[in-house]
Amino acid sequence: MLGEIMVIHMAVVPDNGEDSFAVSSLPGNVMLCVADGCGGLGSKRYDKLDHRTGAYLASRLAARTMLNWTTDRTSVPWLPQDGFYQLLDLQLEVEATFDGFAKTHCQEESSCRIVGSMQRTLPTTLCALLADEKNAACSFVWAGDSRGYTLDADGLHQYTKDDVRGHADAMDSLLLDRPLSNLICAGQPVKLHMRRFAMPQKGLLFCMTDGVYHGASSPMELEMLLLDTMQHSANQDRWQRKLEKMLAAVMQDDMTLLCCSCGFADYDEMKLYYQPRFEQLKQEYITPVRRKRGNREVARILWERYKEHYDRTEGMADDQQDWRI
Amino acid sequence: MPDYKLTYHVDMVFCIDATGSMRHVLDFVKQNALNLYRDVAAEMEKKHKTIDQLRVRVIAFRDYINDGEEAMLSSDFFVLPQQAQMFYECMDGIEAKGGGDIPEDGLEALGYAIRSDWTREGVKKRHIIVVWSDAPTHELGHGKVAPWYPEGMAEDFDELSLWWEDEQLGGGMDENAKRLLIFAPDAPDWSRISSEWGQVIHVQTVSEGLLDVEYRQVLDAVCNTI
Repeated sequence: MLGEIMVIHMAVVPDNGEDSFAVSSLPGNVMLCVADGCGGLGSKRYDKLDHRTGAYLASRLAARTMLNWTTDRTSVPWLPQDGFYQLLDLQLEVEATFDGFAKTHCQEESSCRIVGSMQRTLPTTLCALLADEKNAACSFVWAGDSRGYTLDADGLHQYTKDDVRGHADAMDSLLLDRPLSNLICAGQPVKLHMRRFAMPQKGLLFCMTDGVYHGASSPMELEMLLLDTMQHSANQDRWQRKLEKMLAAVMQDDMTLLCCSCGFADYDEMKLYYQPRFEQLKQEYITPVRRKRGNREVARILWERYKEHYDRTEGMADDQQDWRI
Repeated sequence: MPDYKLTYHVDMVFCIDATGSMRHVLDFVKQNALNLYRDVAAEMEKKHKTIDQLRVRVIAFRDYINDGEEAMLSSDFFVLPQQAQMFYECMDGIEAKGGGDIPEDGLEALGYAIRSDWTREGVKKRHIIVVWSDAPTHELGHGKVAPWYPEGMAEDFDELSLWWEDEQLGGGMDENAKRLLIFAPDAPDWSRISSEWGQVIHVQTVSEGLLDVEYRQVLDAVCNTI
């Protein structure tokens, strides 16, 4: 049973946010999509497009393309080979849309006076969730470092693997700022990944841009932020407002978070379900670090333990319906 | 959630072609350099990003064979705003002269810049090199016959590329923090850098100056990746 969808979407500079999102909700199917236009790579402004930057336009184009593409493709593939063909279809769609848009709107302005590896036409990340109730399955599709997570009684789990240069786990990546190794842009082949898994019987499904997860000092604190605000809210609206307020206080980048619950009859049931996890998280992973004033060494030691359950970026070898391509 | 604010340490090295041909644009370039650091700081503030420490270093380059000991002049890092006056005086002291033939020793200047004493402090850091030149470059080592040519300079373009690409292979710039911004013509080595090296923006002009919209694009490209 897929529940209400929560949307948090905030820009550092109002009306100029380079994040975008799309949501589609049909009986038994949900699609969530976030996209984060790359402001550095896509800093070129287009006079004929309201002086918007390439990054601003790209995230909107990606979200719209995803929305259009899922109109008649709502099922989550069963096997990796099915996923491969679905992904190929989507890649071609994204590629054609971006190249077509660039050709129509961006060409005459690219006078080539500013070039180099830090300039791209319409660059953006993307992370989309397809949730398919009939097949009790979900998949994340992504490029770049926008992420897909689930949250269940065992805690927060990251399913998407960031496209960044070199290796950095979720804790390191908060400080390292590794450059992206893959993203969507015009004029280059689009490479998307897919991570398929069984829909949790009870849980929360998230897509978020890096502005959100960079707002917390560790993945444990990110989970704490989600659960703490939930446990201290009377209903979903208040949860959303509380979460928005907390995120706004630490905002250094545009933030987009989409969330869909599954398996809960109502908000009270969801709160009750997460209460033991909230207490455990606080006791085992949060209080020991906060007592040491956020000491990174203490956080890192606890992170090593926490990440055993957190990291689900790889498919599980013993489960044919749990895979990544 | 406890207070959690990232702080940034930003180092910038300005490599300025100070040969005679730059005479008509040197004042513009100096102003550009002064504006750039101020604009980066202001832009960061607008995005609620706090620069804990900002340092700038200046390298003025010419031609080892033609200009003797004045071929490469470099300062230490100035901490801003505390040492702003010293930084302005240093910029003011750069004079456009010499240079000899058309190409200059810009690659050696880049070698010096890459090997700056970059900050290792700060939760987050940025190491930014900015080059201004109106000329192509000599091949690396062209000025080797000059007695004042530096010891330990990269042997050739490939070695310089390794300095840029790999912190372990002689560079010293943090691989995630580095950015290179080149204001120089579409000349072979400058263009080779912009097509082969990562984290580079190449503005293919210096003499015509930039339109406001282009300057904005460059500033955003730098600031949005900090």
